[in-house]
Amino acid sequence: MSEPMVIAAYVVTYGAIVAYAAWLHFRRRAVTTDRD
Amino acid sequence: MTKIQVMLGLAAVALAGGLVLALNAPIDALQGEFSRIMHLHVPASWLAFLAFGVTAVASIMWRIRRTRAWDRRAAASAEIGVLFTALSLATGSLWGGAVWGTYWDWADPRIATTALMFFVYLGYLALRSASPDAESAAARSSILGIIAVVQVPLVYFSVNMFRSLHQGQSIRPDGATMPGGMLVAMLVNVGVFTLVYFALLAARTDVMRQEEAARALEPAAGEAVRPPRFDEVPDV
Repeated sequence: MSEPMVIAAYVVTYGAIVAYAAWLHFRRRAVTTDRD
Repeated sequence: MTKIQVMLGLAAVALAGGLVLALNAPIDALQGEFSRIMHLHVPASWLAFLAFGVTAVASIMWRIRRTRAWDRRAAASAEIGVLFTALSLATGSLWGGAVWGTYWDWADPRIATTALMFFVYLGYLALRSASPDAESAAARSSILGIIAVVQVPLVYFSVNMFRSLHQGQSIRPDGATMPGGMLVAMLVNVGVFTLVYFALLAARTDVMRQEEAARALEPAAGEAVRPPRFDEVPDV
């Protein structure tokens, strides 16, 4: 996988999924911390 | 460990497995390495269809049952659908730039209808945000969620209905138009992305439920410190 376009596609896709999961994690942590 | 954490953990392991399979799958003789983008583009497009379909079903269920859980499912699914539609457009654009020689072409019906679908569901999310409370957000967005799903078959069949740069369906009743190794990698990644979708949907609806519970406590706390209104001040 040496083509920059292919690398960009994989980085963008996996990066977006991980970023969304991380955003959910921090939102969840914020709301549970507030209630504590 | 909660059920949602187990689902997210399984989704992460499956994503890693899908990645290994996609990077080791056979490549197309003409497209070369660029054909590997299809292992992302096709699953992302499928997830957009699935997510908006779930939004429509959950919107119908909300109109029948009027329970918060169905509204949360509709909203969460639309949000995830928007994410995967954006990924479908981004990966498709990168592939198009490499193979077609153009990143974007408004004349292509599938690109145009997918972009339209993306903006309509962005509008769905904006409509929810602009609504004053959860009940009115559910009432307004459920109508849009039911109507907007007509775009899914429009996007899917657009390559058959209009002249398009896109190829027709690769998996047909009379067989697939790609080698077995490529097909297996693509189908496994469709399954992996579906698992990721359900894990993210469970996590997003849970966050929404907790945020609603936290918001329900806020007015009670605010009431105690509310300044008196003019008509409440006694004449002295």
